Amino acid sequence: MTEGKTGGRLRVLAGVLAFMLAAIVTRLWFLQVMAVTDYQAAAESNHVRKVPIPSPRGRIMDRSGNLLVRNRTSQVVTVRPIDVPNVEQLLLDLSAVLDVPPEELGERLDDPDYGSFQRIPVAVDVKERDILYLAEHKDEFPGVDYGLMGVRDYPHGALAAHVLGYLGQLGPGEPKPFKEHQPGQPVGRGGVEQAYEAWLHGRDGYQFVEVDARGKRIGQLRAEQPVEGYDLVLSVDRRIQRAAENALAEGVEHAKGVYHEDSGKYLKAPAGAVVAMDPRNGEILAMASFPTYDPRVFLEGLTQREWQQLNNPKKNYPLNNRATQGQYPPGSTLKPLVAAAAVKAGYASVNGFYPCPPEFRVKGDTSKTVWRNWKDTDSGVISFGQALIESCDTVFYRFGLDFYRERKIHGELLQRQLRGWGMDRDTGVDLPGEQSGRVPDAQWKSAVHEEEPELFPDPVWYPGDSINMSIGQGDLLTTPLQMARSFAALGNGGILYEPHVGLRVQTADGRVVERVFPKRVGRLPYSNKVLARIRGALQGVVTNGTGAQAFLGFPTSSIPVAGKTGTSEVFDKQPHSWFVAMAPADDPQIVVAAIVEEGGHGSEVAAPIVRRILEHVFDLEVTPFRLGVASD
Amino acid sequence: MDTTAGSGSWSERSALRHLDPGLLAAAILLAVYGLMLIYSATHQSLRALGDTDPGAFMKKQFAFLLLGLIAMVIVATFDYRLWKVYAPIAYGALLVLLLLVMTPLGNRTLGAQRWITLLGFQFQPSELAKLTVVAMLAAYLSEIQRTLTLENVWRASALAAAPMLLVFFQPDMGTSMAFAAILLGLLVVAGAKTKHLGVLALAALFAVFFAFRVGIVQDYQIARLTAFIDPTADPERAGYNITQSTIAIGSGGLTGRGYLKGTQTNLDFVPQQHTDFVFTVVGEEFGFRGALVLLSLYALLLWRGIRIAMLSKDAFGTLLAAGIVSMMAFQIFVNIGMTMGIMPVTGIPLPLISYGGTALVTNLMAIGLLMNVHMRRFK
Repeated sequence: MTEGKTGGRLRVLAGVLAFMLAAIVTRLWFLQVMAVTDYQAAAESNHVRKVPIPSPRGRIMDRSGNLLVRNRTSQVVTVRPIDVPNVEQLLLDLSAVLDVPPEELGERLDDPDYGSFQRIPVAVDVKERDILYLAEHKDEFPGVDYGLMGVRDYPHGALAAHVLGYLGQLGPGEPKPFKEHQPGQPVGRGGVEQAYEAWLHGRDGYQFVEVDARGKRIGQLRAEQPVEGYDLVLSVDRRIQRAAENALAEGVEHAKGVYHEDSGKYLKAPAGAVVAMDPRNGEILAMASFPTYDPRVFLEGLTQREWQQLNNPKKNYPLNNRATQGQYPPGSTLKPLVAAAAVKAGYASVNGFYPCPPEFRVKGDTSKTVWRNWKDTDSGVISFGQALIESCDTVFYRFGLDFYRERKIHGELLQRQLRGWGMDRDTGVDLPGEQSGRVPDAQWKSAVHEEEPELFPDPVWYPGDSINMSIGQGDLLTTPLQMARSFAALGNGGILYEPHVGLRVQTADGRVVERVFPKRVGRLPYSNKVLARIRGALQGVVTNGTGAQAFLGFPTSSIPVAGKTGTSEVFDKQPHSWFVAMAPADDPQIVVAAIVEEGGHGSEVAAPIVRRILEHVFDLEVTPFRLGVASD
Repeated sequence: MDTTAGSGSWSERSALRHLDPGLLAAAILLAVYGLMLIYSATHQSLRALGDTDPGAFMKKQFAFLLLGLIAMVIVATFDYRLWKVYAPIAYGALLVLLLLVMTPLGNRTLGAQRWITLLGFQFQPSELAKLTVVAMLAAYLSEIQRTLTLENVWRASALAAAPMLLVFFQPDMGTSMAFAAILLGLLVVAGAKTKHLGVLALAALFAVFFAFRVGIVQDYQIARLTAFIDPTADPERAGYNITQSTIAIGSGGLTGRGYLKGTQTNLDFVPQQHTDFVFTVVGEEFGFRGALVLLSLYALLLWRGIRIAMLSKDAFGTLLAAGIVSMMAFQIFVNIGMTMGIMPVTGIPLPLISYGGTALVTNLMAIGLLMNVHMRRFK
């Protein structure tokens, strides 16, 4: 081998080595200079763990500062199903420790409100001893975690459950109420917990912890302190709320003992609602819905039984807030509104007199339909006020027919005016899921016929439709809250307020950060004189009209009450019992609307409920619940 | 120079005078650099064990450095041409040792049987085998005066293949590949024809294909070999080392995080960091600049090695030096490339840096051989 050739070959080797070194340097340049930010971030996230420090959620109190919802810490055991290799075995093991049947634990795990990657609370208020056992046998309980958790605490139990709402966990794919929300964090469901989520929910803090490759904690780095949520003060008055819930429950109980002749059965009275409102500003003082539920069941995952209690139709959907979500024909409670509309349209006068026969027929009606008053006796010719006092249907039939006849000239004047009273639209109350009711008209009737011809066989608006509407029947639907608001407008001289349950938002030490001011959203087109005369007539309802029996012994001379009964007919059901009232009638400070579904006559069940509430409101002697007599 | 033949004392003095200071400096600096890196990679884990001396690994490596330097001097002292004579004997002995490793006499660590205890010393015959194969191949190829025939190429390949297979079944795929690199480097420098090399490459390809078909190559080995292409495919196992070591190097940036301050290093994120992944300590704590210093030392070392091969008067010296350079260059490139995710993960230590006594002593002996050839280049 010659010197020169070997030298050349060695240079080849040197060239290869130089190339290799250049490749290494290039790669190094890329990693350490061009991509350094990414790798530094990766190294950071490698050894730094972000451990959330949950923020205490804001408390909720009534208008006088009585706590309705507060927080307490509780030892909670959670299970993350995705980490559990053998669920059945785990349930048996956990059951032995916690002394809870495995089936119940399993059902809590199956709560549809949670995803399998979330930590589902299966037991709250677990004994310290049991937590210690779990800690010592961690390997035997895969997917199980425990620790002190802030849970909601309800000093007054189920009081105002529908107004308050409850807490759930943010599900996968669910829109976040706000940016920082993490899956698995508590989120308000229903009631003000949902409506005021952004205020109640604070900002979680984070503890940054340094860990090694095995995840072992090496030390603490820094912390961002949590920001606690704001407290919410409600317009609800705890006393009135309690009175409303008790009176409603009592009314329902008593109604079940009433025999209903038309159906040949006892009244079903499965459900009901009460709204109490300050007519001067729209503040809701009480809101009750029956049946109710205990918000404490939501502290853990729901068992099948609990879930069914809340969702089974036979249990009448206790989660529904019937005060804002229940839609019913208002029946005769609509008459004061129709009376004002008839005066405005010129079909009636506050000084006028009208015949009140037991029957009413439309001239030239080929179907020969007979429209009956609620009683068979002829009242003769009665005053405008008396028509309201004894709730004479045949007087209002005439107004309804007038509205029908002049619809070509004035358009659908009755519907327009009912909408002016706040019907057929959301009240704007600060609670989720509100229903808007319905004021039907010719266009609606033909539209629903187009959509579902079998259910609505007739596309034409007949005189009968207007006649039905004049006594709050037919396809007209209202919510108890809408009725309370319209009576509030009647009482306050014609101002339609946006109702609200939230009064103000404040810090834990009471500094106010946000106030809910009264908001006027409409003004009625009626003169004070007309409204005053109608109020006067409604006082007569309570003193010597359809509501008199229920208010027997009530000091109406010192606290005059103006109210209206209603018995609304629904196809295939027993009638709903309505009563809406305001007091004191000369300067109303409170409006109360009550309904008992399939509770018979308004005078019989709903009016006594309202009476009990007013007794509490005005610090009167509370009389034992007594049914009224069956009239309208 | 032949005129002064017979004056042994002169030649010895002359030899010492012709020591290559650059080569020596590069080797010692690299080894010292290595001590620093080993300390950084191990002190935290040793502290975590309790009373243990956090410098235990570093000190043990330092002891091997001293032992290695002595070995280097001894290797450099005796004329390298003696190795040509003893190479077949050493080669035979090494094959026996490699076989012994596979018997119950060998020690098992991390799923591989690579160590053997001799005279109370635990060492890795495969490390020594690389150097022996270099000497054996250099001895064989330097004997051939004419252009290499295909038969010569086969014979040389067979000489490399015997220890290569034994090491492969330990299993230690990385080291067995090093034999292939040594063989290739020596064949190129010895002047093998390109077409013969092509035939050899085809044979190698066939052998690899056969190995995969028969299932000699285990699944975990395939996973490790391919993980560098996409570490995210199996980030928990095969890809973990690559991901963590790339993060360590990348996060070092231009200037590094500072000695003993790398979080990847100190919090144990990079496995086998004092051995195969020791380069990540440089990358994270000394950054691009520190890595350049390290690479420059290697460049100096390899350059001196090639220069020595060129200066050597005889073919054996040239091939010996070229073989050592090939061996070291292969290990440097594959090891560093593996830590940066551009080479498959194989158990190859970084020469003169990685923790491990046998490897350090062997590499210092190799440096001694290079010096030996350099000192006697005029003879």
